[in-house]
Amino acid sequence: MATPRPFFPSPLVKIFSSILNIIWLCGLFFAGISVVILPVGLSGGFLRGGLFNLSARWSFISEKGPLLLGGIYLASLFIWALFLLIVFHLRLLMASVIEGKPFSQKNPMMIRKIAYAVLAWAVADGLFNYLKGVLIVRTAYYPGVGLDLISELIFKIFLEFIFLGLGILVIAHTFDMGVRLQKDQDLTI
Amino acid sequence: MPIIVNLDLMLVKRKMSLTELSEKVGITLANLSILKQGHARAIRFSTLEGICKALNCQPGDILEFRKE
Repeated sequence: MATPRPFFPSPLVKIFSSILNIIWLCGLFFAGISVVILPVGLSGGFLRGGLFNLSARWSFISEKGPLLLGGIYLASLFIWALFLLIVFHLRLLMASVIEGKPFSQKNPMMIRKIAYAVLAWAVADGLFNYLKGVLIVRTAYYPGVGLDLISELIFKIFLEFIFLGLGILVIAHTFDMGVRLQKDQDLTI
Repeated sequence: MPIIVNLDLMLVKRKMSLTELSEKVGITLANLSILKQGHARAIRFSTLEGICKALNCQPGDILEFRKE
């Protein structure tokens, strides 16, 4: 009886969608670059007097520097992959909002994927900060101070991301209920 | 669901097609088909009123309760 009202997305949604598209393209570009320099990054080649000769400038970097830098590089690559995954799903979500169908079957699953990506980000970021702390703080300052800084860095960022991920999981669950209500609405004649 | 929709029976009795009914009531054919096949989860009073007017019948002629 009642025909669905046409949905007109607000200009803000369209602007946000365009920004996401730009971020997605830039993200792909930088991901390509990081894959190209993968062997150099993994071997900590920047430290060995090759490309930028950092060891000459940063005299405080220890002998384990190349290994740590390889670890940092891997962690940051993982974070980058998670970032791309999140942006990809956000773009799909925005497309469904613009289409006027935010409560489609696939959206809660996409939001859940974003939440898991954020939780994985928490772990990767903790590792990234730990390695960064070991590389720079421990070698540059007193050991005790360094450890305090490291633990502070890890727990601060770790917890923030975990709360964010759990919050997004709650939103995914809410969307699940929204999908059920939408189905009820669609099947009401 | 224990609620049975006897719309097809009433359509045969009134010698009316589903398309004709959809035009008279103002519901899309797809929605009327969902109702006829028993896939609908709910029915609005306004829809029921429209169908009853078009078929000249009572709501009980269209809907029936059967114990499972």
